[in-house]
Amino acid sequence: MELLRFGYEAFNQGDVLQAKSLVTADVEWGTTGTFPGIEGVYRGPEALQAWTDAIRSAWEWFEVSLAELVRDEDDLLVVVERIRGRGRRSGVDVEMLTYAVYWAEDGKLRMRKAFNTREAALEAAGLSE
Amino acid sequence: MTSRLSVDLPAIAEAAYRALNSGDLDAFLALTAHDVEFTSLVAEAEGRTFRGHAGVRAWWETVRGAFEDPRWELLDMRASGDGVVKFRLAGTLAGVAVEQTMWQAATAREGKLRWWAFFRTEDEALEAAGLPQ
Repeated sequence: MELLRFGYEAFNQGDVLQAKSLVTADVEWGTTGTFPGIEGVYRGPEALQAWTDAIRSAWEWFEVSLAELVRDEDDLLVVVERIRGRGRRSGVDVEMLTYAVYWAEDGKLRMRKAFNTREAALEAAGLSE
Repeated sequence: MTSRLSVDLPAIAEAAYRALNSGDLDAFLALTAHDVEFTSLVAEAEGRTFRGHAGVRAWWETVRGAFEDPRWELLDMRASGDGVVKFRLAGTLAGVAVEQTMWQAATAREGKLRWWAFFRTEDEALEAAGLPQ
Protein backbone atom coordinates (compact mmCIF):
# COMPACT_ATOMS: atom_id res chain seq x y z
CA MET A 1 0.00 0.00 0.00
CA GLU A 2 2.89 2.30 0.79
CA LEU A 3 4.12 1.78 -2.77
CA LEU A 4 0.84 3.05 -4.15
CA ARG A 5 0.83 6.06 -1.86
CA PHE A 6 4.30 6.97 -3.14
CA GLY A 7 2.93 6.54 -6.66
CA TYR A 8 0.02 8.93 -6.08
CA GLU A 9 2.38 11.44 -4.54
CA ALA A 10 4.80 11.22 -7.46
CA PHE A 11 2.02 11.54 -10.03
CA ASN A 12 0.41 14.50 -8.28
CA GLN A 13 3.74 16.27 -8.11
CA GLY A 14 4.43 15.55 -11.76
CA ASP A 15 7.49 13.57 -10.75
CA VAL A 16 7.48 10.97 -13.51
CA LEU A 17 11.07 9.95 -12.72
CA GLN A 18 9.97 8.96 -9.23
CA ALA A 19 6.87 7.23 -10.62
CA LYS A 20 8.99 5.22 -13.04
CA SER A 21 11.20 4.04 -10.19
CA LEU A 22 8.15 2.45 -8.55
CA VAL A 23 7.25 0.15 -11.45
CA THR A 24 8.86 -2.94 -12.96
CA ALA A 25 10.65 -2.83 -16.32
CA ASP A 26 7.76 -4.72 -17.91
CA VAL A 27 4.93 -2.78 -16.22
CA GLU A 28 1.53 -2.80 -17.90
CA TRP A 29 -0.56 0.27 -17.05
CA GLY A 30 -4.21 -0.08 -17.95
CA THR A 31 -6.78 2.69 -18.33
CA THR A 32 -10.55 2.78 -18.19
CA GLY A 33 -10.67 3.94 -21.81
CA THR A 34 -13.08 6.73 -20.94
CA PHE A 35 -11.03 9.57 -22.38
CA PRO A 36 -9.92 9.90 -25.98
CA GLY A 37 -6.16 9.65 -26.29
CA ILE A 38 -5.83 7.91 -22.92
CA GLU A 39 -6.85 4.40 -23.82
CA GLY A 40 -5.62 0.85 -23.81
CA VAL A 41 -2.54 -0.33 -21.97
CA TYR A 42 0.68 1.62 -21.57
CA ARG A 43 3.65 -0.75 -21.49
CA GLY A 44 7.00 -0.08 -19.84
CA PRO A 45 8.17 2.72 -17.53
CA GLU A 46 8.74 5.10 -20.45
CA ALA A 47 5.08 4.82 -21.40
CA LEU A 48 4.16 6.35 -18.04
CA GLN A 49 5.57 9.60 -19.38
CA ALA A 50 3.25 9.38 -22.40
CA TRP A 51 0.30 8.56 -20.12
CA THR A 52 1.09 11.52 -17.87
CA ASP A 53 1.58 13.87 -20.83
CA ALA A 54 -1.75 12.80 -22.35
CA ILE A 55 -3.56 13.55 -19.08
CA ARG A 56 -1.84 16.88 -18.51
CA SER A 57 -2.65 18.03 -22.05
CA ALA A 58 -6.39 17.70 -21.43
CA TRP A 59 -6.51 18.87 -17.82
CA GLU A 60 -5.35 22.13 -16.28
CA TRP A 61 -4.74 20.22 -13.10
CA PHE A 62 -5.39 16.62 -12.27
CA GLU A 63 -4.79 14.68 -9.08
CA VAL A 64 -5.48 11.22 -7.82
CA SER A 65 -5.91 10.02 -4.25
CA LEU A 66 -6.97 6.90 -2.43
CA ALA A 67 -10.71 6.95 -1.71
CA GLU A 68 -10.98 3.41 -0.36
CA LEU A 69 -8.80 0.39 0.11
CA VAL A 70 -11.06 -2.45 -0.97
CA ARG A 71 -8.59 -5.34 -0.70
CA ASP A 72 -4.96 -5.67 0.32
CA GLU A 73 -3.81 -9.24 -0.26
CA ASP A 74 -0.09 -9.96 -0.55
CA ASP A 75 0.92 -8.50 -3.91
CA LEU A 76 -2.60 -7.57 -4.92
CA LEU A 77 -4.39 -4.32 -4.21
CA VAL A 78 -7.93 -3.33 -5.12
CA VAL A 79 -8.61 0.34 -4.55
CA VAL A 80 -11.09 3.08 -5.27
CA GLU A 81 -9.30 6.14 -6.59
CA ARG A 82 -10.69 9.64 -6.38
CA ILE A 83 -9.73 11.70 -9.37
CA ARG A 84 -10.12 15.44 -9.42
CA GLY A 85 -9.35 17.74 -12.24
CA ARG A 86 -10.13 20.94 -14.08
CA GLY A 87 -10.83 20.78 -17.80
CA ARG A 88 -8.19 22.73 -19.67
CA ARG A 89 -10.61 24.05 -22.28
CA SER A 90 -13.67 24.66 -20.10
CA GLY A 91 -12.30 25.35 -16.63
CA VAL A 92 -14.93 22.91 -15.34
CA ASP A 93 -14.00 21.14 -12.10
CA VAL A 94 -14.80 17.44 -12.07
CA GLU A 95 -14.46 14.52 -9.75
CA MET A 96 -14.56 10.85 -10.65
CA LEU A 97 -14.10 7.52 -8.98
CA THR A 98 -12.03 4.84 -10.66
CA TYR A 99 -11.76 1.26 -9.50
CA ALA A 100 -8.25 -0.07 -9.92
CA VAL A 101 -6.41 -3.32 -9.35
CA TYR A 102 -2.65 -3.34 -8.85
CA TRP A 103 -0.37 -6.31 -8.91
CA ALA A 104 3.09 -5.91 -7.34
CA GLU A 105 6.25 -7.91 -7.91
CA ASP A 106 9.53 -7.66 -6.03
CA GLY A 107 8.42 -4.50 -4.28
CA LYS A 108 7.35 -2.69 -7.44
CA LEU A 109 4.10 -2.24 -9.32
CA ARG A 110 3.90 -4.77 -12.14
CA MET A 111 0.41 -4.18 -13.51
CA ARG A 112 -2.55 -1.86 -13.20
CA LYS A 113 -6.04 -2.44 -14.52
CA ALA A 114 -8.69 0.25 -14.21
CA PHE A 115 -12.47 0.00 -14.33
CA ASN A 116 -15.63 2.03 -13.98
CA THR A 117 -17.22 -0.32 -11.45
CA ARG A 118 -16.21 -2.06 -8.25
CA GLU A 119 -17.62 -5.34 -9.53
CA ALA A 120 -15.42 -5.30 -12.62
CA ALA A 121 -12.33 -4.58 -10.53
CA LEU A 122 -13.04 -7.38 -8.10
CA GLU A 123 -13.72 -9.77 -10.94
CA ALA A 124 -10.40 -8.86 -12.59
CA ALA A 125 -8.70 -9.51 -9.28
CA GLY A 126 -10.42 -12.88 -8.99
CA LEU A 127 -12.23 -11.73 -5.88
CA SER A 128 -15.80 -11.11 -4.83
CA GLU A 129 -17.43 -8.78 -2.33
CA MET B 1 -12.47 20.69 -0.88
CA THR B 2 -16.12 19.71 -1.07
CA SER B 3 -16.83 16.50 -2.96
CA ARG B 4 -18.46 17.11 -6.31
CA LEU B 5 -19.94 13.61 -6.32
CA SER B 6 -22.99 14.85 -4.46
CA VAL B 7 -23.63 18.08 -6.33
CA ASP B 8 -27.15 18.48 -7.62
CA LEU B 9 -28.47 18.45 -11.15
CA PRO B 10 -28.46 22.24 -11.76
CA ALA B 11 -24.74 22.44 -10.95
CA ILE B 12 -23.97 19.42 -13.12
CA ALA B 13 -26.07 20.78 -15.99
CA GLU B 14 -24.38 24.18 -15.80
CA ALA B 15 -20.95 22.53 -15.88
CA ALA B 16 -22.00 20.23 -18.72
CA TYR B 17 -23.16 23.16 -20.86
CA ARG B 18 -19.90 24.97 -20.16
CA ALA B 19 -17.97 21.89 -21.27
CA LEU B 20 -20.11 21.60 -24.40
CA ASN B 21 -19.59 25.21 -25.36
CA SER B 22 -15.86 24.99 -24.73
CA GLY B 23 -15.50 21.87 -26.84
CA ASP B 24 -14.13 20.13 -23.74
CA LEU B 25 -15.04 16.51 -24.37
CA ASP B 26 -12.90 15.24 -21.49
CA ALA B 27 -14.71 17.37 -18.94
CA PHE B 28 -18.07 16.47 -20.46
CA LEU B 29 -17.24 12.76 -20.23
CA ALA B 30 -16.23 13.23 -16.60
CA LEU B 31 -19.66 14.69 -15.88
CA THR B 32 -21.51 11.66 -17.26
CA ALA B 33 -21.99 8.26 -15.64
CA HIS B 34 -20.16 5.37 -17.26
CA ASP B 35 -23.53 3.75 -17.97
CA VAL B 36 -25.28 6.91 -19.19
CA GLU B 37 -28.09 6.52 -21.71
CA PHE B 38 -29.51 9.30 -23.84
CA THR B 39 -31.15 10.23 -27.09
CA SER B 40 -30.46 13.16 -29.36
CA LEU B 41 -32.60 15.15 -31.75
CA VAL B 42 -29.58 15.31 -34.04
CA ALA B 43 -29.76 11.54 -34.43
CA GLU B 44 -33.54 11.37 -34.05
CA ALA B 45 -34.12 9.99 -37.52
CA GLU B 46 -32.03 6.94 -36.65
CA GLY B 47 -34.00 6.41 -33.44
CA ARG B 48 -30.70 5.85 -31.75
CA THR B 49 -30.04 5.56 -28.04
CA PHE B 50 -26.47 6.42 -27.09
CA ARG B 51 -25.01 4.35 -24.28
CA GLY B 52 -21.96 4.69 -22.07
CA HIS B 53 -18.92 6.86 -22.55
CA ALA B 54 -18.45 5.38 -26.01
CA GLY B 55 -21.94 6.65 -26.80
CA VAL B 56 -21.06 10.11 -25.51
CA ARG B 57 -18.03 10.18 -27.77
CA ALA B 58 -20.07 8.99 -30.76
CA TRP B 59 -22.74 11.64 -30.08
CA TRP B 60 -20.08 14.31 -29.70
CA GLU B 61 -18.64 13.40 -33.10
CA THR B 62 -22.11 13.38 -34.65
CA VAL B 63 -22.97 16.85 -33.34
CA ARG B 64 -19.57 18.34 -34.05
CA GLY B 65 -19.67 16.78 -37.51
CA ALA B 66 -23.12 18.16 -38.31
CA PHE B 67 -22.86 21.62 -36.75
CA GLU B 68 -20.27 24.26 -37.27
CA ASP B 69 -19.59 26.06 -34.00
CA PRO B 70 -22.57 24.74 -32.05
CA ARG B 71 -23.55 26.81 -29.01
CA TRP B 72 -25.80 25.73 -26.18
CA GLU B 73 -27.49 28.37 -24.06
CA LEU B 74 -29.17 27.30 -20.85
CA LEU B 75 -32.36 29.34 -20.56
CA ASP B 76 -34.24 27.85 -17.63
CA MET B 77 -34.20 24.86 -15.35
CA ARG B 78 -36.65 23.00 -13.14
CA ALA B 79 -35.09 20.40 -10.96
CA SER B 80 -35.91 18.34 -7.92
CA GLY B 81 -33.63 15.36 -8.25
CA ASP B 82 -34.65 14.82 -11.84
CA GLY B 83 -34.92 17.95 -13.90
CA VAL B 84 -35.95 19.72 -17.04
CA VAL B 85 -33.72 22.18 -18.81
CA LYS B 86 -34.84 24.68 -21.40
CA PHE B 87 -32.03 25.57 -23.75
CA ARG B 88 -31.28 27.06 -27.12
CA LEU B 89 -28.99 25.36 -29.60
CA ALA B 90 -27.50 27.58 -32.26
CA GLY B 91 -25.03 26.75 -34.97
CA THR B 92 -24.45 26.42 -38.66
CA LEU B 93 -25.84 23.32 -40.32
CA ALA B 94 -24.84 22.68 -43.94
CA GLY B 95 -23.99 26.34 -44.34
CA VAL B 96 -27.28 27.55 -42.90
CA ALA B 97 -27.49 29.30 -39.54
CA VAL B 98 -29.99 27.48 -37.35
CA GLU B 99 -31.35 28.14 -33.90
CA GLN B 100 -33.76 25.99 -31.98
CA THR B 101 -35.18 26.07 -28.48
CA MET B 102 -35.63 22.65 -26.89
CA TRP B 103 -36.27 21.00 -23.57
CA GLN B 104 -34.12 18.37 -22.01
CA ALA B 105 -35.22 15.97 -19.30
CA ALA B 106 -32.34 14.59 -17.27
CA THR B 107 -31.47 12.55 -14.22
CA ALA B 108 -28.26 12.53 -12.22
CA ARG B 109 -26.72 9.97 -9.91
CA GLU B 110 -23.76 10.51 -7.61
CA GLY B 111 -22.85 13.74 -9.31
CA LYS B 112 -23.01 12.38 -12.85
CA LEU B 113 -25.57 12.68 -15.63
CA ARG B 114 -27.18 9.27 -15.86
CA TRP B 115 -29.90 9.85 -18.47
CA TRP B 116 -31.24 12.57 -20.69
CA ALA B 117 -33.52 13.04 -23.64
CA PHE B 118 -34.54 15.99 -25.78
CA PHE B 119 -38.08 17.17 -26.40
CA ARG B 120 -39.74 19.82 -28.51
CA THR B 121 -42.20 20.84 -25.80
CA GLU B 122 -41.87 21.51 -22.11
CA ASP B 123 -44.83 19.28 -21.28
CA GLU B 124 -43.22 16.29 -22.94
CA ALA B 125 -40.00 16.90 -21.02
CA LEU B 126 -41.79 17.36 -17.69
CA GLU B 127 -43.73 14.17 -18.21
CA ALA B 128 -40.55 12.26 -19.05
CA ALA B 129 -38.88 13.62 -15.91
CA GLY B 130 -41.92 12.85 -13.77
CA LEU B 131 -42.34 16.48 -12.80
CA PRO B 132 -45.70 18.27 -12.46
CA GLN B 133 -46.79 20.22 -15.51
